[in-house]
Amino acid sequence: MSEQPPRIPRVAKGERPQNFSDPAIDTLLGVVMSLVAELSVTRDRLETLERLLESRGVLAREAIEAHEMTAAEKAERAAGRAQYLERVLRAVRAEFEDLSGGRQARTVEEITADLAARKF
Amino acid sequence: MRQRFHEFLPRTSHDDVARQEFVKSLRGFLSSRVMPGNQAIFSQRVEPAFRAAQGRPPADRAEVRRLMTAEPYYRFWSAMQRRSQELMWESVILPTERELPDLVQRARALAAKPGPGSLRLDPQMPLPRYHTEQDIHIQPGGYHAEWTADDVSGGALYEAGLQMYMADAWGPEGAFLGELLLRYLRQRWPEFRPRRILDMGCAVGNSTLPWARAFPDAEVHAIDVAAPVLRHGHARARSLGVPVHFSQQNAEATDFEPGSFDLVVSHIMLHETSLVALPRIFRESQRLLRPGGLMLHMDIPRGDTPFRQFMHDWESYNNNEGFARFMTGLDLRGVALEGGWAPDSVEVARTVAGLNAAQKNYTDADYAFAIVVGQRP
Repeated sequence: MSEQPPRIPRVAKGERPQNFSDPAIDTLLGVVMSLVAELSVTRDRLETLERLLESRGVLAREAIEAHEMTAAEKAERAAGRAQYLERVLRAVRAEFEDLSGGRQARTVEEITADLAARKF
Repeated sequence: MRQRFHEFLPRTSHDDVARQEFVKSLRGFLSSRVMPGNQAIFSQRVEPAFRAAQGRPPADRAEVRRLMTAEPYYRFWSAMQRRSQELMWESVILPTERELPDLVQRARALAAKPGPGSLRLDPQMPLPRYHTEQDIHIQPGGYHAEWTADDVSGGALYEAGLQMYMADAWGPEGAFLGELLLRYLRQRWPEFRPRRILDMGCAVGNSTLPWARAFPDAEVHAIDVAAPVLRHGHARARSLGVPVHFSQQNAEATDFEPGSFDLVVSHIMLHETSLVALPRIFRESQRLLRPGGLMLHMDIPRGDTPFRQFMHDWESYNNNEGFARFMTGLDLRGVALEGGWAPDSVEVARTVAGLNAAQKNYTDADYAFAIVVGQRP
């Protein structure tokens, strides 16, 4: 019987913080962020494949592992990832963007009251 | 695969690197694009509403905390910041675990060589509760847990995590804070040439090596309570050819001779101790210094407004830095006096680190690190 390889636990000792009124939302956000991460990994891998296909016309699996990006390519990829995060996480920033852009809207209730009062 | 600057970081696959780069991008995005929204929401909406209702601004960080933790924007940032830290560790645990038996073997082989530097472990040394109650930084196992004989994983994980924690702030060797404190020393005491240096709470020695490189004639010692980071740090220093003497010791009470050091330093160790430990550490530092010797303990910024203090306290509640919030507003000079320093021999200085928006996790204001500066009479 072979010796079991050492295993490092994935979860730290310590109380897990609850940010939302329902802890299920914390868990759900955890899952969503893992999906965001894994999609990013897939995007990177596809991009590597595309670069290699383009440059060589041949695909060797080892070539993906061995691929070293130049500093410029890394910067391009990081910029692409920043745009990706802007798109995926738009909802998180919405209120900040309202405040920054001076586009705070009144509540639906306020607008409805004005409409009912024929203010506009 | 990514080039490693020394052989004691685990080899990484394409997807390992992609995961780590994602975490770095995510944390940069959260710091530069989401986190500052908390200040905007507080200043433009939460504080004005509080003033209107109470006729005064929020009195302190506890009051700010009550207000902000009810805000959906803050909750989402906070939950995502926490998740980014968890993803950070996951992204380094995968390659570290895969390669751990090999990392242990290589560290053993290097430790068996005669030098440079040395490693002295004390398996009988009790770990302080401020390490064992929570895994600090939510690094699974913290600095200290061992999952296999001669485990180095705590060090390998910590070092890889540094490369994502504040974007690229730490530099490839993680020398950021060592260099920051070294710069402070050189500006204030340009002629100071220590012959014997002690770095307390050294972890993997990433802040120790800048001192050893800056003073190549000095004998440099580094202590930590956790064996895995010391094993890794020792192997790392040897592979980089820098002589450092690592030993497993608690900074509250070491076995070094009194008056045997010219310089005692630490880098963001204090906030990972306790109110009981702090005065002991200052007392021990004084005991170890020769007359005229210098003590420089540097710690993380704690904020200069109730709102910023509340933000810097985030790690206490969400990143297993249980003691950090006790450091907010703490009179460190007073604690040093409690530890036996004379009033005219100790002070608290500040040094501002030049960081960009992606590197500042909790406020977009200057990051002013506190330094407890003591010169033994």
